Amino acid sequence: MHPLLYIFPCSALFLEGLLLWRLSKHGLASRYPHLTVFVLFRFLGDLILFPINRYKPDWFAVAYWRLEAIALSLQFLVIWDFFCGVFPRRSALHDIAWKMLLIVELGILPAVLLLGWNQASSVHYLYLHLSPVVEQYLCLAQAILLLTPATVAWYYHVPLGRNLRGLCLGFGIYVLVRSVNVASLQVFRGFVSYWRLLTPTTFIGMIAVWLWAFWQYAPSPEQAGLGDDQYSQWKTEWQHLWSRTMALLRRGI
Amino acid sequence: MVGIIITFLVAVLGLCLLVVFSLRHDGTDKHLNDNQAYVSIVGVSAVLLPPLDAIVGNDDYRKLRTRPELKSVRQMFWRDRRRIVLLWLGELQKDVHTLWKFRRFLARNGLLVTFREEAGVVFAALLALLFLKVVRVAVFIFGPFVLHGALGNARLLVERLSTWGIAPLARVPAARKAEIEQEWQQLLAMGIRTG
Repeated sequence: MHPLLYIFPCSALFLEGLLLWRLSKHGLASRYPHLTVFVLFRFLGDLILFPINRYKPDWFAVAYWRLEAIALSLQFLVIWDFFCGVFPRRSALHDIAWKMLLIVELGILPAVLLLGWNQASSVHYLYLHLSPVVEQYLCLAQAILLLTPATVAWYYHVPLGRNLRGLCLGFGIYVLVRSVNVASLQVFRGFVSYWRLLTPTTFIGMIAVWLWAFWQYAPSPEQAGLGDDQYSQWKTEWQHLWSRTMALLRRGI
Repeated sequence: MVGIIITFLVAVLGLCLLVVFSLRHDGTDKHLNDNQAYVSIVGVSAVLLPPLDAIVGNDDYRKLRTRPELKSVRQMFWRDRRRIVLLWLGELQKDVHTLWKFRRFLARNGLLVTFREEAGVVFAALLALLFLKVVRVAVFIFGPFVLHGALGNARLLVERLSTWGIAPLARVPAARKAEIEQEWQQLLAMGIRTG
């Protein structure tokens, strides 16, 4: 790899570290647990790739693509964090947004699968690790899943707050650009050397936007309006459910 | 290739949406205008104000038509009446927008609404707006006196939307209702300041 290209993993690692540090402040990690898991995974994944590249270069491609595949799946959790942040549980809007999400899943995702299937059959070259078609359509599906609650929030004028606005903006741009990037790789192959820089650049941009968004705890007014009483009530209910589940498991065993 | 084109289209649309979402984030509505400050709570002003026949009745016009020497007066009358009907239809459109916004405001404030109700309101509001647009174009082209039935239907549509849109308010206790009214007035006032 050209020494200049190290600027991407190094800056990504630096920003991820900073972001993790900010997430550990003000209880942000407990309020956005899935996002924290995703960032932590990316941080550890990027960190581990350096020694692999140095000491076991043969393993690098396999390790890189396996980590990418896991990170791609973890991105669904980020969407879930956004959804839960925008629409607190037990509100009428939560139910409406949830049903809207289900309708979108049932309506659009089969179409995405069909398109992916048709496109995959027309790709004449073999890919070694992760199919570009899978990557393209997974990112597209994630973008649609993110935009659905964002649209419902916009429709009802639900104020997002800095945390969720940054989360939505950064992640939305990243998955959309990544999807276009992978699609472009299949069509305009002459620009491969440029296309391959686009996704890492957008990823770094996303982490930078998240860093700005999560520098301090600034939730949506709806979430901020939830008092400690509400949280403690939910906690009690959760503990009750947990103890019931454990009791059922013990009985089953 | 179809999939790749769709990917590009969805990406462009999604990026535009993200820009729109990030531009408006504070939850205030910047499109409310001064007229809506006088709306009591849900703004069915234009529907309730004038009797329909006073706006679209053609008795005077028919009388003028029997007098060929008053052709210029008749033409002026026709133009004036068309302008009034178009203004009235514009007010009806504003009412639909206000009703729709009020409905979203109710849902956002935690009133119990179901997905089916919301889908119905969206459908009815879009239908009413489309119908009003078509009627406006038709009135502009064919004049104010040929679409008496359509204008009556337009009014009826907005009245129904009004009844339907504010229905959840009936399920609210009086104290909460007063709070909602106050918040709505504040939102309108904020709309005037920012817009």
